[in-house]
Formats: sequence, C-alpha cells, structure tokens
Amino acid sequence: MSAREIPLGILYSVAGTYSLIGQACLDGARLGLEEVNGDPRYPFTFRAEIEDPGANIDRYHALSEAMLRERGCRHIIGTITSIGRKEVIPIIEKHDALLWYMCPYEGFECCENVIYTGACPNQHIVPLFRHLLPLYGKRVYLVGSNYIWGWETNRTARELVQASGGEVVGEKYLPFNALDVDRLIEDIRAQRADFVLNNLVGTSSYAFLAAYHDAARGDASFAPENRPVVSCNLTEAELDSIGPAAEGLISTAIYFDSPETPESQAFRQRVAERFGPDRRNSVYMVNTYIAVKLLAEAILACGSDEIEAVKDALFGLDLETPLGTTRIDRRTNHAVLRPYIGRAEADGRFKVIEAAPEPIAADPYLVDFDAREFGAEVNRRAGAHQGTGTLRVVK
Amino acid sequence: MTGGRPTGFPTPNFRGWRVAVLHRDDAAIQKLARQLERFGVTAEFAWPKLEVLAPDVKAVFFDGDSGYDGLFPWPAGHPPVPLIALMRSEAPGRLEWVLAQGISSHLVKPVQSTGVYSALVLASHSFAQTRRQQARIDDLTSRLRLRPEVVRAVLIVMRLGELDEDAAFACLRSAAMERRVSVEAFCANADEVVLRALLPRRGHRRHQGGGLSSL
Repeated sequence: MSAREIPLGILYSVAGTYSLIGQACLDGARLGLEEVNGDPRYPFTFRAEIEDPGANIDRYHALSEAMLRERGCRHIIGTITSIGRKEVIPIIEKHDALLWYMCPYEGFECCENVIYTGACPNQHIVPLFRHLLPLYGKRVYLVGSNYIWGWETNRTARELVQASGGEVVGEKYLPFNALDVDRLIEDIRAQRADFVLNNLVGTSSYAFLAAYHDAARGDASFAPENRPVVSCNLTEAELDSIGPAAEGLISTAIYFDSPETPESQAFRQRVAERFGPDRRNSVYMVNTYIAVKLLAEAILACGSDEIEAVKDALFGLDLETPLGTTRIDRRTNHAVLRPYIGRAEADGRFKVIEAAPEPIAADPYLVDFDAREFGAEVNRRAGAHQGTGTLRVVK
Repeated sequence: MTGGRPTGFPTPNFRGWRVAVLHRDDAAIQKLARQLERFGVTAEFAWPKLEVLAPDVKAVFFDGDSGYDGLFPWPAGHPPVPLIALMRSEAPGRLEWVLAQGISSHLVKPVQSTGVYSALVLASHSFAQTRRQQARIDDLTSRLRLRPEVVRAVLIVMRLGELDEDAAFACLRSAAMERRVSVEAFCANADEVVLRALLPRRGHRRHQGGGLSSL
C-alpha cells in the first residue's frame, strides 16, 4: 500500500509587525511536518502548502481560497491576528474545512470550523490579573495597538480592575507601527499606576519597552519591581528584539521554555538541532508543532482527513506534548490549557512565578466568570500577601 | 466601549438562561442550539405552534420564513420577552410580518456560529431599551392627559391662597413630592378641600414668588 499524501495548508505572515511570531509559527509547523513525515507509524505524509500573505490583510482571502479550492486542502493551520482569522473563517465555512488557530486571542468566538489551541481570556488575562492585582496594587494603566486585540483585552482588564475595587488610571492606543511613545511614558509617570498592561504589538511594543526601560534610569517608579509592564502575549520569540528592556517584564502563556520540564527540554533540543542553538523556542513554535501532531494523530485514529471524522477523533485524543497532556474540548473546540505567569530574566528566558494548579477548560464567552467572585478573591489574596510580606513563588 | 471612549461595559452573560426556538428541528437549527449551549443557554424547540410561554423562558427565536399569525401565545406585536427572527427570505411581505411581531434582532439562516452571541446581546439590550422607552412614553402620555387637572388646581390655589402662578405651582409640586406621586396625579385627585389644606392659615399668609398683593 503506497503512502497517502494529504495536503495541509500553512498560512503565516513572516513579514510585517508580526514577523517574529509568524516565523516561530511556521518553523513549529515545519518541525511537526518533518516529524510526521519521517515517522512510519503514520500511513500517510503531509504535503505542506505554505503561503505567506506578507502582512497584507487582503491576501488571506485569496490564499486560503486557493488552498481549499485548487490544492485539495481540508485543513489550514494559520493566522496570527483576529483580523486575519476572521478573514479566513468565511472561506473555511464555505468549504466546510478546518482552521487550526494557535495564538492567544480575545475570545468571544466559537466557530465549529476552527480548532483553537491558543489561550482565551479565562486562560490569560484573568489568571494574570488574579496574580498581579493583589501583589502590585489596583491602579492600572492600559495601553494597546489600535485594534481588537488591545481594545477587547483592555476591556476585560477594566472589568477585572473594577470588580476588585481598583481604578484604570489611563487607557491609550497607538496606531500600528507607531513609534512615538514619549507622551505615553509621561502620562504613565503622571498617573502613578501600580502596573501597566501592554497590548501594543510588534515595533510599537519594542519602542515602548525601550523608552520605559530608559525612564527607569532617572525615575525608580519605572523599575520593574516597582511598576512592572505586563502582557498576555509576550513570549521568548520576541525577547531578542526587546533586548535589555525585557528583564522584569511579566507575561502569561500556556507554555514557557522553562528548563525544568523534560518535555520542554526535549523540544528545545529539537529546535536547536533544526534551527541552530541560538534560536528561541516559544509557545508559538510549540503550539503549531502540536497542531500538526494533533491533526496527524486524529487522521491516524479515524483513517481520513474529512473534517467531521477528524474532529470526532480529535476530541477523543489525549496527546502527550511539551504542554503536558493536550486535549481539545468537544463543547467549545478550544484546548484545555494550563496558564503560567512568567517573568523575563536577564538570560532571555522566562522564570515561572505562578502556575495554575491544573489545566483549565477554555471559557471563550466568560460564561463561568463571575466578576464579584474574582474581586473577592483578589482582595483575599491581597490580604494574605500583606500578612506574609513575601512573594510566594509557585512552580 | 473600546475603539472609543472606555466605559466599563460588563461582559454580557446568559448563564442559566432558557430560550424557546420556534423552528422545525433539523440539523442546521441544531447548530443554533449548540452555540447557545456554549453561552450556558438551554434551547427548547417548539413547532408549529408555541402553546404557552414558560415563565422562565427569557428569549424566543422563531422562523421568520414560515411564521404565521397565531404562532405566538401573546397579542401580536407585544412579545413579553425579546424576539429574534431567523430569516433566509428577504421578501418584503415576510419582512413586514416579522417586523409586525416586534422583533428585537434577527439572524440570517443558515445559522452560523458567528452572530448568535451578538443577536442575543442586541436583542436583550434593544428589548430592555424599548421597554424603558415605552414606560416613559406611557408615563408622559398619562401626564399629558392630566395637564388640564393641573391647570384647574393651579387656578384654585391661586385664588384660595392669593398666590401667583409660579407660587401656586410650587405649592402643588411640593405636595406631590411629599406624597411621592406626579404633580398630575396629585392634581387629578385633589378637590378644593385638599388644596385649601395645603395653604398657610389666614394671618400667617406668606406671599411667594413676589406676585400679587393681598386683597
């Protein structure tokens, strides 16, 4: 029996604001493809149909349409922003195909033709703020790039702050690629925030973090131990572009390339062998790698790449991955994930400072979120921290 | 509001809601039920007629393409809960019928995952807003209807109390406020005896508003 070849669309932009994330996603997918195609356990190989929309939103539609219509793909792994994802979803629905979306996003979506393995709000901003508000205080400054990710993540942040009896002392947006951050820095200085939520992306974010770092030289309030800059989507993939300003940044992710876990070590080994010892491993690389593996396992289990069969098989899988055991929730099409809070260290890694006790199901519409309970928990934890006067480090 | 002035809009939550779906049960409509379930909402199907609206049903989705007079157990155009039309047809006659039912939002068929959440959010918001506006219109209409009663009472108080128009109205308004009713409602129920009791006794008469001199 000759091995079947299954076309697999891969759609990541490796140009523009998100180039580093796109490259990480693409390379993670490549690792997965090479592993599946080299493994005789699978009676099929993937034929990668890789396309780069080049940061041009108008190209997502045509490229995904071509993958599905002309190249026989039933599955596309891809898109980073919600704008990109929402361009592709109508095409995916029209062809009844499956989009594998791997990035953290703002939630409030649950499309039956999408598998979501990035974190949604109850797996990123909620645990991040549950950690931060009791430790640093409840005067919060929100910044973001002027589009839905920043708007919606900041809206949720505001709800969390208000539920805790805190105050949003500033909320400012910059256009994509804007580098003019001085007024932002001055406003943060004037408003005396306890911490800053950074939802800027790409070059704007790097410029902001550099200016914030510079400001700390003459004003200790900008030091990370006094007023940290935090985010829901900063990973190792971007640390090199941030340079020394990265130290002390706090982020949440469902994976940090933390040396403690053997799966993570093994994966880092593979990244180093394939892309060189200096290449950063990150949740983006891990997650696209996992997407290819999940798809391969589901096809192996059901014997087809037809999407209803694949979904059915997928929902029954418990796959061991660098994230631990990965499972997709049948109810929401979202992954069950364990959120971590990490602090960037001088060596360019994240140190895990808090971990959820166990993986949590995605709640994309925040159905089970209760603002009052959240506020009560924050204030309870704030009391506990005041009692001990120390920061409890959980691993 | 994001993408605009930040406000603090709380996340809409439909956990524990029950809704009725008046549509023939088929595979496509099950998608609606599955999506609702993801918001914590339970859907119950009824077709071809909703006999009775259970008291804890908080919204009704219905087939706008096949809906007909008598589909709902309430007077036409006066739904007690938000109504959401499911539409494929755009024929003006169908739109006319759907509009006459007093819908609060709609969804295009075949129902996709996208749109159900916003249809619920828009419908519950719009229904509540319409209710508030209707209550205000009812209140203003009834007050408008009672305006002649206010004029009558003002004239009586002016005469009995030897007050000017402004002072007489101020006297009536504070009496209404004390009784926690509108000026109109107070005036409608106040005869001359009641109105006289509002005024200071002779000899202690105070002139308010600086109008008429005593007779």
